[in-house]
Amino acid sequence: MAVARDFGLNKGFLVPIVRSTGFQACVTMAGERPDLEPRAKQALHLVSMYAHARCAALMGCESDGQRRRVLSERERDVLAWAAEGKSSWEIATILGVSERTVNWHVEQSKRKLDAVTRTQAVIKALRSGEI
Amino acid sequence: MIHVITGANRHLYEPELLAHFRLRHEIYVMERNWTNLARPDGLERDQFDNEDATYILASANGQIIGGSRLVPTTRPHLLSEVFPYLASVRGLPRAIDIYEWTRMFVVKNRREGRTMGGQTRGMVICGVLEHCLDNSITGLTALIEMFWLPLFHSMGWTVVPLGLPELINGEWSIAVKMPIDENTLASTRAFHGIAGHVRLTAQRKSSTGITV
Repeated sequence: MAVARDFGLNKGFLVPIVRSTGFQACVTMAGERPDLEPRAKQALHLVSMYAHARCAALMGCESDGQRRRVLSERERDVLAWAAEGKSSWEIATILGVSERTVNWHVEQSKRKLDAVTRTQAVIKALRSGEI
Repeated sequence: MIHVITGANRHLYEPELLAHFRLRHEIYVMERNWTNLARPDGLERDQFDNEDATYILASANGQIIGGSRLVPTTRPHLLSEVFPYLASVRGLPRAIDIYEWTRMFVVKNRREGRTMGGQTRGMVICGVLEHCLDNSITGLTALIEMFWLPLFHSMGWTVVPLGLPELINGEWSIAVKMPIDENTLASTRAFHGIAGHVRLTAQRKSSTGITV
């Protein structure tokens, strides 16, 4: 907040973007002497939702979890357990498959989600509502 | 399956319409707590549920699972009679090819779960669009809660606000106009993974066997 004030951002306003699948994003704006009268806030609320929708469209990301899922059920299982901090060996034991199979599912997920590491795949899967 | 019920064929659909008024009471009065709509007979019906109204109802296994209502904007409707101040910035469009879209609902057990809930909702929305496009309706107006906006944006709709958001029944809501065409239908179908027509092509009732 102190840093923000140094840049002349004294007061701000935050609009959470919430969808049927839960919290998705927020749009924030701030200024030196912002007009935060009720009418202005109502307009900002509206502008924020349109700005977010436009950004999402430009970035080509369907930010609603309704989009088609890319992972298979097994891949989601594996990533969900990885998100719980389980190792490949532990996941293999839980799912009753070999460790190699688990690693294969992880590799498939990484490819599908365009992720370099397992952690990144988990994060991407969480964000896109896959798991 | 989507049924379109108008003044012309509603005599064939009385049980389904009753079931739908009862569901609306359950959803809007009991669940969403819009107490001003409460009725002793347990049927949520207002002054716009008249001969002018068109109902788009979704059914599965003989049960109503979702629906919507369309009212011509040339006739008295919710935005013109109850909430005209919500269109104070752009004014309220009224024309023979513009209808007001209200009472969009999906029954509770079809809402949960990403795929199934979205599927029923998608069917109702596509049903509305198919009916409109076949009847030369080029635009819809609606009073919507702000939380609907991201969905409409994701479905590729153009949503034009008519005024600023206001708190209605505890939810920030806004009056909007939405021009619709074949592209709107195509992108809505794609979004919901719906391949083709959802609507019953014959405007007559088939043997749905809906129990009330």
